[in-house]
Amino acid sequence: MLIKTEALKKIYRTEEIETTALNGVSLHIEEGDFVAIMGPSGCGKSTLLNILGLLDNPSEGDYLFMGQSTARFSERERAKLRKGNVGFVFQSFNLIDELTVYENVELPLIYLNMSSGERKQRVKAMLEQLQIMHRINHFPQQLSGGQQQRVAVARALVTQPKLILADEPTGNLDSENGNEVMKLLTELNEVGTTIVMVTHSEHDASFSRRIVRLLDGQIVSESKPSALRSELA
Amino acid sequence: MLHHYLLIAGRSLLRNKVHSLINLFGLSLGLACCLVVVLYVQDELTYDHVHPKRDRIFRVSTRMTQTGESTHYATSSMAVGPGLYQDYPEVEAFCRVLLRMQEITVQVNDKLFNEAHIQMVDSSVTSLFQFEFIEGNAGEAIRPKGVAICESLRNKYFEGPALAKFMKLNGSDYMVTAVFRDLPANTDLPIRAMTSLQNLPPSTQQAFVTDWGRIIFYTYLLFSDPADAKSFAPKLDQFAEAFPIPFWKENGVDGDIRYSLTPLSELHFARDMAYDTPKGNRDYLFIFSLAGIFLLLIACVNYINLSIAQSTRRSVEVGIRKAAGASQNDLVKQFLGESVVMTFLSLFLALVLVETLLPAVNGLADKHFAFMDLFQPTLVVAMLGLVSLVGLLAGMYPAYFLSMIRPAEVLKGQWRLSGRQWLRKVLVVVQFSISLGLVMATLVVGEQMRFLKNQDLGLRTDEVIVLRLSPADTVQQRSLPAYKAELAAFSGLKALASSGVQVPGERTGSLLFRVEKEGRLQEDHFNVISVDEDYLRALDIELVAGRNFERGRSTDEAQAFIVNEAFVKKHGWTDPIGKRLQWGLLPDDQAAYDGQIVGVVEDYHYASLHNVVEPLVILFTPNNPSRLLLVPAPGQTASLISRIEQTWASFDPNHPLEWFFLDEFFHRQYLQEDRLIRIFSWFSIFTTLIACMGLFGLASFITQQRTREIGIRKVMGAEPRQILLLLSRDFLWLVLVALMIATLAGVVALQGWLEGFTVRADLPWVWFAVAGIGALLLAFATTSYHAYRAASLQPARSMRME
Repeated sequence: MLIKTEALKKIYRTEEIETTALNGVSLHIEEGDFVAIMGPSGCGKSTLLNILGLLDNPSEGDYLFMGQSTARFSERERAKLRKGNVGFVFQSFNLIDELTVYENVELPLIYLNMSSGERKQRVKAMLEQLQIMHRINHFPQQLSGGQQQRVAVARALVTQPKLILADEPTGNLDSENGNEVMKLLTELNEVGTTIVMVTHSEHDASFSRRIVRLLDGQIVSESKPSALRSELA
Repeated sequence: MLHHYLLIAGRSLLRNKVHSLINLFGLSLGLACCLVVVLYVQDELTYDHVHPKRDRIFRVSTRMTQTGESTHYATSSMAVGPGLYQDYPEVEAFCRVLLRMQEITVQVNDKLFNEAHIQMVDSSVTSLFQFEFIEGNAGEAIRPKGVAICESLRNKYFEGPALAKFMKLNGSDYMVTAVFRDLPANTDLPIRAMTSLQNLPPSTQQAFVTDWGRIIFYTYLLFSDPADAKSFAPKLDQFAEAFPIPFWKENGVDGDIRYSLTPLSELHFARDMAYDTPKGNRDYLFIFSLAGIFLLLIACVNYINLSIAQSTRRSVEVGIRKAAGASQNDLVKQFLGESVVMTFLSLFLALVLVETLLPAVNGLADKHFAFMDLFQPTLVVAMLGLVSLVGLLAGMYPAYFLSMIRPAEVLKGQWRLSGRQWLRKVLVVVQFSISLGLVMATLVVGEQMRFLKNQDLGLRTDEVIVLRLSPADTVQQRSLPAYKAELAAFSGLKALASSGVQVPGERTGSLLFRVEKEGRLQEDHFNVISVDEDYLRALDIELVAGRNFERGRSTDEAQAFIVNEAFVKKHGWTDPIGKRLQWGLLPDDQAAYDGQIVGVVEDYHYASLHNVVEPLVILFTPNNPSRLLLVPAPGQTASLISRIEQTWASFDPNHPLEWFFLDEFFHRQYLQEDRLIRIFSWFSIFTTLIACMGLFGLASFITQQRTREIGIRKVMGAEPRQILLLLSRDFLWLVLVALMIATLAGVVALQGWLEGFTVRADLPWVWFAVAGIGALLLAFATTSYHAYRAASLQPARSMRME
């Protein structure tokens, strides 16, 4: 099992208010699965995704990633486990404006201490696969939204991670570009990459194998998508 | 409206406490330093301004050329003043002041004091210079056997009024004729008491007036119109050709005498004259002003950088104000108002700082500033001008920058601080170049001073104790042999010698000699000291040829001379022993002292390491010494001192015992440089501190600005160490560039400064490197606080901040 959470709780405290973002979430995800997490704004989707991605700690409960209990991990330990194992795709792409397409995609490989020759080879292969080779020396602002998201996906995939976490990956894209991205994720899943995706869109969710619905920090239902994704694809 | 702006200004200051504190501290420290510099400059530039006729007063200086060598003296002969007064009607009055290098022993009732700045003057002194008499009057002040004293001396010697009371000066009776208010400290002609030149014995007066070569008077001329003084040069030449030059020809002197005038207002900075009064240094004035301005500039840069840095936060405010109808001008006024409020707040703090630190500053700069000095009308105007200028300088750019923000972008959340990176970088480089430059200057000046102090002087000064004696005090001089004998019996004493008033490290006197050269006697001035037969041995001065003085030889006192190697070299002698030398010159090659060179000593540094060792004649004066030099046996210094004091008390209880260590005295001549080093050290510390504080503030902003990027990088697997490096790297580059600029500029400027010394240290490259590495470490430490915090933040949080 790749992911196993037990009664996860996440509480945010500001000076006056205490907000419970997650309230006892237990979730199991097998390797090779494609899970869509849905729910209204503020239900805790992104919080859950951050914890699954080892970007944040739960306040209570435990989170086992690849069999390791990570709930009490320090930032350093989480960073170590995250590196090379988890890829992220964000709604707002989160590309670094000052770096070119090539440099953005190369970034995670640098932090894996890979040699520059191997990095070059990997980045180029990835950009070709995603058909943005011709934009290799451009800066993010010079690309369309769809292109930017493809770069972001390329960056998430370049380390060949076991898990891809996508936070509303089509949120800032038109339907045509959105479909492109969803197709890409489906293809990745088909070759064995585990994907967890947060989305508002039933359409996007229909690409997944399993839909988990959250409300007020709790799982309220789990279901299969209504239409078979192969048909949609 | 104003109230509204002040409210906003106050709240914005309170909201960004760290930035406000950095600005407040930096600006107030900068302003405080500037205020002190302003005090210093004002003090130096107003020397002798107490005298209302200063624009019409000029001092006569003499240039004497003999055997190809020319010396410019601040003094002139006694006949110059009356001569010019008689011959040229534009000279309204003249006043002469006898050059005096010794202190005078004052006796009031049974008490004895040694006093400096007791001057012998013409009675016209009161018509040239300004004195405020509190007892007696100007007409009565200067007359034979009368003495006018200043208020502080009166309070020291007498209780109540002093008029018509008596005191002894060097043993002679004088009656107090007047009491005047103390002259301010910033005068080049300090007078604590004055007596008439008429008190000189008539024969002495006669000798001084008739000899144009005896230049031992400061001569001040009062012109009816200062313009006459400007065109007076041809008349001075005329005068020189009419009197002194023929006089020299008559007396067989091969040389030239010329006179020139220096306005009283320029005397303080006039340089390179022998026998001159202590001087100010225009270079220091310039350097301190520059350092003060730099310090303030660095603080202003902080203000600019931090204001721009805050613009992200304030952009919303600007957007809303503009949407609500504010024009760009309104906003410029608002932001300028804030910076002016900030600088006025800083001024207040700066004044508190100055008030608190003034005693320390006075000690450091050897001045007598009072806090109230700052509130002279001119200074208040200057101060307000400075503050407004700083407020505008610091506020102008941020005000325009902020007011240009387009409201639509801000309100849609699209506005982001971009560009302007180069300006920030340039400003940081400028700050660190300045602070590193100052640090290097401090290091070089310090190194040079250490080098000078560690030079082999060619004589012993360590632990040598010098006792001041009064040659005029016959009681003391009579008991001296017994006193010396008692001290000599003490086992803690290694050596004992006596000398005239000039001990090593002090300006020597000089005398006119006749020297045997190419078979005839030629006149020339030489530096002299007078010593007894034990002097050379006591101070470990090496005799390289001939013999020492001998007390047993009755002829030695008038007929034996010892010279130094420079003297021998100047005359190109191979065998100096036996060469004829005369002083106390009389006509027809006769002289009171006429003898031969009996010994040659090594060139030891008898005066200062600033200059090369000049020719010196050592005279044998075994009796009536002014100084006693005592060398303790190893480890016996303390016991010797207590022995000296006990013995003194039993011999001469009336006379205050005054002693000092020779090495401390010798090093006192580097006081100005020591002071420069200490002042510079403070400037360096302050500039570095303010620059680092700016960097700290800037780092907090940059880190904040790059939070999102840091988050992304962390999600991509960057470790805290890598983030730390990423953020610090940019600043380290800037400091490195600044280091290079400071080194290049510093080496050029400092090498030039070092050229001014005859013995000089190498540039302390090792210390430069230490300073550079230190600066880099400091910059790293400063920036890494924020960088480390950002790097340790959970990425989920840093990305949410976006």
